[in-house]
Amino acid sequence: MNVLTSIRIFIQNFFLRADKEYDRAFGPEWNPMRQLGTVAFYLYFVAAITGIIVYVFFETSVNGAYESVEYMTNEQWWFAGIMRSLHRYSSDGMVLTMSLHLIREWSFDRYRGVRWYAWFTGVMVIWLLYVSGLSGYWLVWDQLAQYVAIGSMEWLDLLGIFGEPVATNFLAEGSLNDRFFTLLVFVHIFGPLFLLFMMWIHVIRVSQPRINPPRGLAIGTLVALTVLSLVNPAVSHLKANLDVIPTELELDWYYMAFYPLFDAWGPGVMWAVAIGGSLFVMAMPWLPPMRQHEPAVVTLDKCNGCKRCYEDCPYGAIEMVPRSDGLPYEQEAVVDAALCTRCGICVGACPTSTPFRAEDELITGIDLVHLPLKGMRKMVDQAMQNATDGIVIVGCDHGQKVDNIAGAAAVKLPCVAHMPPSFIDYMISQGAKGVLVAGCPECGCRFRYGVQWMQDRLEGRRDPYLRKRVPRERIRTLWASPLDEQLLNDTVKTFKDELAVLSDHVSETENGDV
Amino acid sequence: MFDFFTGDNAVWFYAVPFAIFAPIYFSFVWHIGVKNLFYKDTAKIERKRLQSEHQERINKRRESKAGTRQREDHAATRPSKYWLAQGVAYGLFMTVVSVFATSPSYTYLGAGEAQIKLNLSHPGQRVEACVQRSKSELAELAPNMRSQMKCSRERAEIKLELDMDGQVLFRGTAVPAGFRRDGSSSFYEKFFISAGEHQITVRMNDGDPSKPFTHVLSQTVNVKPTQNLIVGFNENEHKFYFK
Repeated sequence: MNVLTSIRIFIQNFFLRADKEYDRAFGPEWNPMRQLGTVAFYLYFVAAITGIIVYVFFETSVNGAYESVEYMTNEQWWFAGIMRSLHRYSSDGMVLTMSLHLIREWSFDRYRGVRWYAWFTGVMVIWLLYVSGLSGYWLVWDQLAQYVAIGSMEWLDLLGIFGEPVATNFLAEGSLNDRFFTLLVFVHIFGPLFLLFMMWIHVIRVSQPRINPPRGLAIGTLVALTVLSLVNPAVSHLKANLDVIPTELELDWYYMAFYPLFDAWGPGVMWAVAIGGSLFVMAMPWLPPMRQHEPAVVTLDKCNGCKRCYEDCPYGAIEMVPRSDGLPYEQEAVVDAALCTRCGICVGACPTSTPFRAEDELITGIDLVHLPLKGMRKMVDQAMQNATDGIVIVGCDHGQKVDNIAGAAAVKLPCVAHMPPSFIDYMISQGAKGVLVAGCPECGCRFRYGVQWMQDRLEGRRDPYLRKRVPRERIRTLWASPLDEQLLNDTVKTFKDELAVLSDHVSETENGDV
Repeated sequence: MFDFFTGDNAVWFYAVPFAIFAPIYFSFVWHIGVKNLFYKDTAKIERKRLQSEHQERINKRRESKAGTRQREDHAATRPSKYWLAQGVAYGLFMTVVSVFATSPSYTYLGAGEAQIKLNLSHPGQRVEACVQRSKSELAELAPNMRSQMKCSRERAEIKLELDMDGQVLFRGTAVPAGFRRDGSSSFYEKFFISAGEHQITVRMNDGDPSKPFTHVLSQTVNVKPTQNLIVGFNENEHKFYFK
């Protein structure tokens, strides 16, 4: 295991632990650690709305800008001041949640394959967020604005695209005029508009994207921001004076962490860091190790165009097109390789994915190349032989550690919803005492809807259903974090005990004792 | 008359960049999603219809299946201690937001320090001296182009030095801006210094580099703490200034 993998696993475990703790407080649906992207979207809208309100009070002139912001903070603190603080803290919160979102997706390796697009465009979102946020700081025109404005211009001047250094516009008092603030307002309005556009691009290829947090989480976040705005309102530095150099600055580190580095290293190094870092991050989805298998394939002879795979695919990778093979069905499924994550959820949805056939007939309408239905049945048959206590655990590659559970044998799939419910019927009818489906935590499925679809299939809410003849008391589900090893062991033990009681009861019934 | 092919407002000056960049730009915005505004994504519409039908089926089945375990509503069944835990979590998040929004503070300029900003944008002398056009040369030119003097466009590089108390702060050369090197040469440098009296000397050569400096200013300046002392060149008076 190399250093990078160790770091990745360390961060992954941090998020898994946080998920677990936050699950206890918020429940899976409201868990903010699983809603980092939606919370960032939400904070954008909080910043946008409060920004419009603040603009009503703002004066776009060299002398009026600072005074108008001071008026908001001191005279109108009960409304405009709170709006200013909300505007500031929501934009800070956006950087924080966006950063956590990025680190989380990296640590869980969710940026390769089909996800490259969101990752790639996410870098542009970061740039636009910084343009939007920093241009807002200029508008206050205090010493912090002076520092940021001059630093930014010196940074841009290195490009040499301007006839004369633009930093000379900030040379001394009197260099600036009111038109400059009109320009700044323009930048601070159009920057966020472009940011919103890029955020839309960021999620455009996601099927059924979630951009709004659950209502409870949204309300809680807004209340918390308001409390913070009252307890610690945003304030300005002294008014900018270009003849005087600011000494101590209370930087907003979310947006300005690069400025001290700029002071220390100079503009050349910072351009190298910014451009080089961005290009590297954008290229990450294609850097080794590549872990892509072949996308799912459709076998037309077995596909009747029922659309279940089309409905269940969490990434919209399946299209229904007019029939091309002359069979008497209207449509057939086609897989878009660029969108397929190889999760196998479509295989679990296909009504022809049944193990109750001879081996040479084990062909389904849609299947994974690297783990076809035949392979799944072999794994299941093998697991049933190895399950000394008769319990088979169906797990996934990214969730709970289902290997090495005493008395039980594991079947590991890309996602638990890869397994059609008929396989559970098959296992019970072939002699398994019980089947435990152990997947990712609720709302924490690596493939978005795998846990939800599987639960719905087992409970008869979603096609294909688990057949009625299958005794429900022999099936158990556990949606938990990979860190919940004790919970998994306890669940298996309890399940084993319950199955033993059940077996005693059945044998007594068969013997006529009851 | 407006000239389409020569002069400052030549059409090609705008048309060529437009012809190159406009297709790239429009192709980009088209492919990243604008096409969706014009062409309906029938597959997406169909998917939405199917999802809505599917949801309806689920709802009907849920209503008819009394006793089927429903998905737990975590919020509704949550005891008060979890609300408290949520409060702590929000508090933690807001503390992190608040703390790094203003701290730790950053010292940009130390106590008793000041700054010198060397700022200069000045066109060097012409590399070749202007010559008088003869009458025959003038006659060959279009009437509106008959300038008496014939001058080359290229300007000389500018050599600049800034010393303080006998120590070199800056020594450098700037090339004229523009592809034809006919623009101004610019300098923008800043230096942190200790406040107090300093002997500051600035020298510039804007012509032949083998000759002595053409402009020099040396003064004792009392620099106050946090002062932003500008060392510049007044183009009207053709001399340096400290401000």
